[in-house]
Amino acid sequence: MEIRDHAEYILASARASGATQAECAVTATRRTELNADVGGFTLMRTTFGHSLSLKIIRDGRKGSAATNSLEKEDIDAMIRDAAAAAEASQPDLAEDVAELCENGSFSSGSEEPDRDVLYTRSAEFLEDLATRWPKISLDSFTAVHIHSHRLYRNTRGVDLSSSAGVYAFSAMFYAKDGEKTSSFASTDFVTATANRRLIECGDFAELLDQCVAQLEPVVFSGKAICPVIATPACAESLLCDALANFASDVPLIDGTSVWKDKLGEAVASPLLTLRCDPEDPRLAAGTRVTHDGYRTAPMDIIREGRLESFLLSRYGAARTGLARASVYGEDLIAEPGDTSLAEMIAGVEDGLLLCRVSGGEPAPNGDFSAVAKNSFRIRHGRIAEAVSETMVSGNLAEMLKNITAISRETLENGDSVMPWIRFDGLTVSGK
Amino acid sequence: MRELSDLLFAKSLFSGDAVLRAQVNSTRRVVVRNGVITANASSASGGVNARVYRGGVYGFASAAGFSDEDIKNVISAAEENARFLDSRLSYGRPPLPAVGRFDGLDRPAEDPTTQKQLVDYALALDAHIAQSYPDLLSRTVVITGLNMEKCVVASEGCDFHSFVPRVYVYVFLTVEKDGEPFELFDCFGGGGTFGELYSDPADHAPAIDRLYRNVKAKSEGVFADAGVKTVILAPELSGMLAHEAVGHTSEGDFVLSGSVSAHNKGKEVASDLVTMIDYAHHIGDRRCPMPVYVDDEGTPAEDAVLIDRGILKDYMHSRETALRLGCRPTGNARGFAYSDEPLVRMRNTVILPGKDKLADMIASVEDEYYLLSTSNGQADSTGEFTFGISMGYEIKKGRLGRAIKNTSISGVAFEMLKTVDMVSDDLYLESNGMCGKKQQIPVGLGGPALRCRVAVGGR
Repeated sequence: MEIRDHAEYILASARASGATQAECAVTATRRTELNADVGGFTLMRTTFGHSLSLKIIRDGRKGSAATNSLEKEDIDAMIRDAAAAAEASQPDLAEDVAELCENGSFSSGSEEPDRDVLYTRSAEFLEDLATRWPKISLDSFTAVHIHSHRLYRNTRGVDLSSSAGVYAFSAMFYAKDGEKTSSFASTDFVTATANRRLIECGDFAELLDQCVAQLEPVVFSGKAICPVIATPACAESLLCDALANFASDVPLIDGTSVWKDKLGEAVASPLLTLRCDPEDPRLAAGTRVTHDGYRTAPMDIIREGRLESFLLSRYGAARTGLARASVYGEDLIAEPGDTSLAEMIAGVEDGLLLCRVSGGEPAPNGDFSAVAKNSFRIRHGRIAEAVSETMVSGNLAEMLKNITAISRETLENGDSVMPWIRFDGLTVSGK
Repeated sequence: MRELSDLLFAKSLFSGDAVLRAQVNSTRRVVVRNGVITANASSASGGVNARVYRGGVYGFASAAGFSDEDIKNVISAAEENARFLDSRLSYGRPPLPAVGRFDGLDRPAEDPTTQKQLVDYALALDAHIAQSYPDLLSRTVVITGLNMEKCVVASEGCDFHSFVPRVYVYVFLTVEKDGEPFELFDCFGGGGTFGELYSDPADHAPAIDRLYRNVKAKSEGVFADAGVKTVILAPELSGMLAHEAVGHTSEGDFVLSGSVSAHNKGKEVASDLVTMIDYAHHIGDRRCPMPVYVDDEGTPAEDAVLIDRGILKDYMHSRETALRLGCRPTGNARGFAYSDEPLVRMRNTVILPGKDKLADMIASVEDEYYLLSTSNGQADSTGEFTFGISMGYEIKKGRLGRAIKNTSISGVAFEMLKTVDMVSDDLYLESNGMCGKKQQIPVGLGGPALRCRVAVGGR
C-alpha cells in the first residue's frame, strides 16, 4: 500500500469510530548515514521508517495517537487509542482541523542517496582536518542523506503532500594541544546537492580556526556592561529563545508573553527585520506544509523593529483570538544591515565576540544568564584573547531593543540566513 | 513485539560479530493547561536493527517491523554497509573484547495503564491547584510516560529481554508580579508504571504547596550578585553536577577524543569527600531509576567507579572504547530508538552521600546562596559545566533570606569539585531528564547536598 492508501484508511476508520473531525499524517523516511570520530570513519547506517499520526475530535474532545507500523492491526490499535483518548477527554471549543484552502504537492531534492557523494564529501572533510587543523580533535561527525515524504489529510478535504531530499553534515570538535583543550564547537550545513567541498560551506572553517585560537583562554576579570557582537549562529540561538518566549503558542495562550499586547508596536531596534521564508532559494528545503495542515507562505515577524506577526498555530490562534501565522518559526531569515563585520568590530572599544551561549533556559519574562562559550574579547576595535569562565546576563526583550548594528555579511547554512548582530547593555562577568 | 526466544534464530544469520536488537518505545502524554486538555496522546514506535562489526568499522541498518524478513533484511543491509566502509578503509583493527554472562531476569513487559487514568489524574491535580491558588497567572499539569522494551541477541554477548517503564508528573505554576511572569516547576515520579507510582492526586498537595510558596517568593526575589560564590547545592542539583561536570567527560568515546578526563586518570580531581559512581541497576538494595542489566551490545552491566574519594578512577565503556583504552566493557552502550545505534551513555550517575546534615550546612554559610532546583545543564570538553538555576535563596548569617531570580551557575569540574567541603547524608535519585548526545536518552542521576564554590550569573 502507498502512504495515500494508509491515510485514506485511517481517516475512514476515524470517521467510522465516531469522529466529528480527524486529521492524519503519514510520513516515510529513509536515512543513509556515515559517522566518523577522532579515529576516522566508524559506522555506515541505513534506516527505513514510517510514522503515522492521528488526531480525532469527537464533540470537541481531542485524542491523539501515533505508530510507526504499517501493519493493519497496529494501525487499528492506533485508531482505537486515539478514539479512547478522545472519549476520556473534555470538550475544548478551540479544537478543530485545518479548513480546506488549496491542496497541493511539493517536492525538492533527490529521492535516492548517492553514497559515493556522501563518502567523498566526508573523506575530504577528514582530510582537510588532518592537513589544515592538526590540533583539532573530532568528537563526532555525521553525514546523512535524508529523504522524507509526508502526506497530511483531514476530514475537511485538505490533502497536502511534501517530499524533500537533502544532504546534511554536522560536526562537533575541539582543539587539543597536550593537556590544553578548547571548548566544544559544533555546526551543521544542509544542502540539496552536496556539490562543494564541505570546508567551503557554512562556518566550518571559521569555527575550526576559532577553536585553535581558544587553547589559551583568559578568564574575564570583574563585571561590566559591555557591547556584545553575536555571531550568526549565536544570534539565531538568542532570537529563537526570544521568539519561543514571546511569540509562540504557549506563552500567548497562557498570557505570560511580554509581547502579548505589542502587535504592531516596536519590540526591537529599527535595525532588525526578521522573517520566515520557506521559499528563499538559499535554503536547502523550506517547510512547505505546517504540522497542522496549511500551506506555508513567507511572513515577516518583525519589520524594522515592529512586531508584525506572532508564530501562532491554528490551535493557538483559536485560543487567543489572534491571527494564525503562515509559518511557525522555521526557515528564519534576518535581513543584513549596512555595516561590515570589520566596521562593527572596529567600533567596539571593549566587549565580546559572542560565539555560543550555554546556560539555563530563559525565564518567561526573558531574563537569562549563560556562559559565553568559544568567545573572544574585543579590545580597541580588534579581536583579542579567547575568554573562559565568562558569563553573560540580560533580558531577551530588552536585548532586542538594544541592537545597535547588523552586519552586511550573512551566514547561509542551508536552513537559515543570519548576520552578525551587536547587542548593547548586557552584563558580562567573570572571576 | 516478538519474544526473545523467537528472535534467537538471527544468530544463524550472523557472519561475524553482530548484534540484533528488537525494540518498542511506547509513550503517553497528557497536558492540562489552565483546566483545558491541550495534549492527550499515546504512541508506539518499534522495529529491529542489526549492527555488524568488521575490521574496526560498523554497518548498521534498521526496519520498522519484526518479521523474519525484516530481520534478514536488516542483517543483510548492515553487513553490506560494513563491507562498503571496510573495503574503502581497511583499518584492520582487532576483534572486540568478549564479555561475560548474565543469568538474571528483568521484569515482565506489563503496563495496564489507560489513557483515561492519566486524564482523570491530571484533571484532579489541576482542579486542586485552581481551587487552592486562585491568584496564579497560569498552571499546567503534564503527565508523561515512556516504556522501553528491548530484546538483544548478540553473537558475542548475552541475549536479554528488558522492560524499563518511567512516568513523571510535572506541575508548572506561573505568577505575575508588576506585569512580569515568574514560573517554577516541580516533578514527581521515576522508574515504574503509573499504577506502581501513583494512587491519589492528593498525595502531591504538600509538594505543590511548597512549589507555590517558592514561586511566590521568586516573584519577590532579587537578581543574584554575579561572581564566584560559596553555595549549597541541594541534592536535586548534585546529580546534574555528576552527570554534566564529570559524567560526560568520562564517557569512553569522549575520553578517546581527548576529553579533560583523558589525562587525569589516577589523579586527584576532587575533594576526598567526593565519590562518584555510574551505577548499572542497584545501589545496595535500592533499584536505580534507569536500571540497565545488559546493554545493547549484550554486555552485562557493571557499576563504573568514576571518582573514588577524590581520585579519578575509571571511565564508562562500550566494547569498542574498552578495546581502544585497554579496559573492561562496563555495559554503557545504549541506543534510544529501534533505529539508533548504541553509543556510550550514562545510566545512574550518582555522587555518594557524606555525613553532614543539610541544616548544619546552611547554618555554616555567612552570606551566599542555597540553590534548590535546575532547569537544564550542559558540559564542555574543558570540564566547564553550566546549568540553569530556577530556584534559590540567599543565605544571610546561616539563615535563608530572599529568593533569587533565574540564574545560571558554572565552573570547571575538576577545580570546583576540589572546593567541596561538606556533603550531606541524604541521597536524592531521579530520572526525569533526557540526555542529548546525537540521540536523546533517559538517564538516572542523583546525589546529596554539597557545599562548594561556583560562578553565579547575575546582574
